[in-house]
Amino acid sequence: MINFTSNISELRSCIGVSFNMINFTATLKCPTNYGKVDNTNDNCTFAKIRFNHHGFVLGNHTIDSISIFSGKTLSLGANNTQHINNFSINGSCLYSFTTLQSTLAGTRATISNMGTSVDLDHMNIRDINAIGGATIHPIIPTIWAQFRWGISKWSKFILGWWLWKLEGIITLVINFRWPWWRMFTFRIRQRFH
Amino acid sequence: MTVTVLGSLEIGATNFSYLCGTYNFASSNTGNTNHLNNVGNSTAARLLFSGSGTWTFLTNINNSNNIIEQNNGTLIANNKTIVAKEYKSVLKCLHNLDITNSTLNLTQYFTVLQASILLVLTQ
Repeated sequence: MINFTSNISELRSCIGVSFNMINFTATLKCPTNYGKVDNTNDNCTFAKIRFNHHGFVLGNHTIDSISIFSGKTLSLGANNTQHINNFSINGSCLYSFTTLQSTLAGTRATISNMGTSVDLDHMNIRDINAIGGATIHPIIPTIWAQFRWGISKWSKFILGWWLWKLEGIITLVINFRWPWWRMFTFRIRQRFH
Repeated sequence: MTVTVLGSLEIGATNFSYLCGTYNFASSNTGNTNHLNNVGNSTAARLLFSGSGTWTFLTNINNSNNIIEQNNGTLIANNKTIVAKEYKSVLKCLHNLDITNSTLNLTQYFTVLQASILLVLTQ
């Protein structure tokens, strides 16, 4: 295991190297902090990369598992391809949306996933080309499941959801927008005896 | 200041915190050990492994103010925690870094020049 413990850390110049666990552990809430697998790396294999703050993955790599803290930004190299098996990059109501994007606006980064499903939730996704055999499953709106692996046009309409139980009453609240400039709240209450 | 070490090195806790400059581990033999007992102290020495031999750490290493540079040989972390500002490898030479069951804590960079060949064994 290799831990990068400062608020700006980089993995550099590794070609064809196999790593097990790489942790970027910066924790300060400063928008300029990041961990980076920079563009001098290529063709490396990672069992797990974990970003505790904003993260960059440049070069072309095979990653079994990648994770980033909710609400942060994961940037993948434009024109690079990452073969990623497992994702733990979801945003949340508490920490806001996680952003998955290319390092260069208008130029796509590619993610290849040959599995059967990918679950993404509370995500902003920009300039990402997804290929492979997986099906994307938005977690909250299960009625929208089974979208093809790609960028779902529906995910951007869900702003947040809350579910709680109080005095025998279960309440589900979903905030969504349609069209993009109007916000609605959908509320369901059900009493259980 | 550069100190060239041609075998094993053992330094007690009372001294190692004052280390600075460069310690060049230049042995071509296997079976070298580094016993750097700096518990509670952070050193600022450049630890340079330039020989083709093998070194095994017998203690945790806290060198957070300077780098570990390996350009040759085999470095075995041996279930220990190694702290450094940077791990760096700059020469085109086969060398091994074995951090199986160990932890490498870097405050900044892990750098290997593209022409180098590096094998990292981890668990």
